[in-house]
Amino acid sequence: MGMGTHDAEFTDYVSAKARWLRQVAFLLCGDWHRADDLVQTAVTKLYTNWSRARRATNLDGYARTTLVNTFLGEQRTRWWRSVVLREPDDSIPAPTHDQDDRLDLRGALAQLPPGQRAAVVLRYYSDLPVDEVARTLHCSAGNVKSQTARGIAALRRLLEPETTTVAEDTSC
Amino acid sequence: MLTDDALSKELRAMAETPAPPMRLDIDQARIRGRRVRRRRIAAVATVCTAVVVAVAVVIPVALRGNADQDRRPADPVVPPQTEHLLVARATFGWLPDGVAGISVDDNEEWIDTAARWPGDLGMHAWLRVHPVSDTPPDLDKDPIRPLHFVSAQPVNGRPAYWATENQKDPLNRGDMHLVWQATNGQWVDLNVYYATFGDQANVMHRIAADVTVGSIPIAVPIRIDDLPSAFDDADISLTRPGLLRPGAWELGVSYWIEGASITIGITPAGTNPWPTSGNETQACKTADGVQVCVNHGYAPSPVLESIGGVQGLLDRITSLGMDESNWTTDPIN
Repeated sequence: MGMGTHDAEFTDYVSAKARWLRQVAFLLCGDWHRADDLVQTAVTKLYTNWSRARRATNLDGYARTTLVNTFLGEQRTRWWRSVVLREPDDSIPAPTHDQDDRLDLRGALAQLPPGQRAAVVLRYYSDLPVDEVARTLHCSAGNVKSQTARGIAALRRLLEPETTTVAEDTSC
Repeated sequence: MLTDDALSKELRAMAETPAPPMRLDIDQARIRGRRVRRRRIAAVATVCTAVVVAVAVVIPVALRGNADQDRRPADPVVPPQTEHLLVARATFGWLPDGVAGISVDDNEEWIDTAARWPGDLGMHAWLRVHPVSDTPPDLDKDPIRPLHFVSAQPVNGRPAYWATENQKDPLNRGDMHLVWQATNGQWVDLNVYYATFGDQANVMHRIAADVTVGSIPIAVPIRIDDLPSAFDDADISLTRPGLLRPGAWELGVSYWIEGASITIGITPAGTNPWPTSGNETQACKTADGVQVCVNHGYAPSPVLESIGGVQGLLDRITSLGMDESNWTTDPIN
């Protein structure tokens, strides 16, 4: 017996969107391996709710929301710290000189509280309007604006020589 | 200075930095997800076949009533009857203004009733009925992090709970679940997200208080004659108005038989034909204002070929027209 219709749709969708989901996850968590774990968990959730997800008028938005909430949920519980155990992977190509700036940004992003990081990624990588970020994060537009502003301010400080402390997370 | 444009550019470049091979295992996600789903559906079929309605009804175009003027008994349970193609397990009564559409979706595990509001991220409300139990159902929404139950105000005098990831936040960051026990012992999960209304707890209770629990056969605009017995256990969805195409409604009936996908898509005449994907073949016809398409894909289907392929199946389907009083809840002969 082969896959059901829902399974086939799910497989087609996830296969087509896996790279995009992984990139969003990487920007959120700053680590490719953990990004894979996040995507694995998120698509499992997506499968368990596929009958709903497939009916969403914005399926990509549904999947992205599932991924972001998986990330934020794990930040709250920290479960991944106890279950993601692996040796450092040497399969990642060594960074080139051109990638140094990116490493700086990656390090700076990692210092942002999770809510600020999510707001920055959704606004500036996913190009989502404030209202859609608010719905993704289940908070108010005002909260998104303040999270984003604090995140940007912190990134600017962190990427300049005179680094200062990062503001507290007031995520919703 | 880190400008907005520069940040966007840098984030995109960062996302494209060299990475190890991806470790995503889609099969594992399906296996694990299916295990979760199987746990929660185990007893549903038994309960659902025991409670079916006596009267054939067409899914209401407008599900909203005025709860103040038209109060009904608490979650009335309708009497039993025989098996139908599509049966809703619960229906909405009062809903906040602005509903853009409703649907009933019968898939391999659940039968959901849904209402949606306009916009890509418009509010959604879902009803799902769980088996009879003394305790609230394990919603298993998240295979990693289970939802906790927090006591809520009763719904029509019946026990009710908020289901939430964080017990300190009963409304679950806006992905709200109000779960209550109906008078027949079944549990109902009202899930609302992207809510735009204020006073969310009270509005959730008002929606819940007007929900009708019970099996309601849904009438459909076609009849199918001499359908081989291999065509059973279909995934069915009826949506008003159409979700993918403009139109008053759309109905999809999907079978999966020995690796082959066979879908019957029914829409009002004048809308785009049911979409095909991959290597699907399709045959369509329009009669009495109803457009019917049969799609076949993924693998050869001996049983479909035995009745003449997509055209053969299409020939066995009769349109019942646009007058919904002529539709039937028992379309398979």
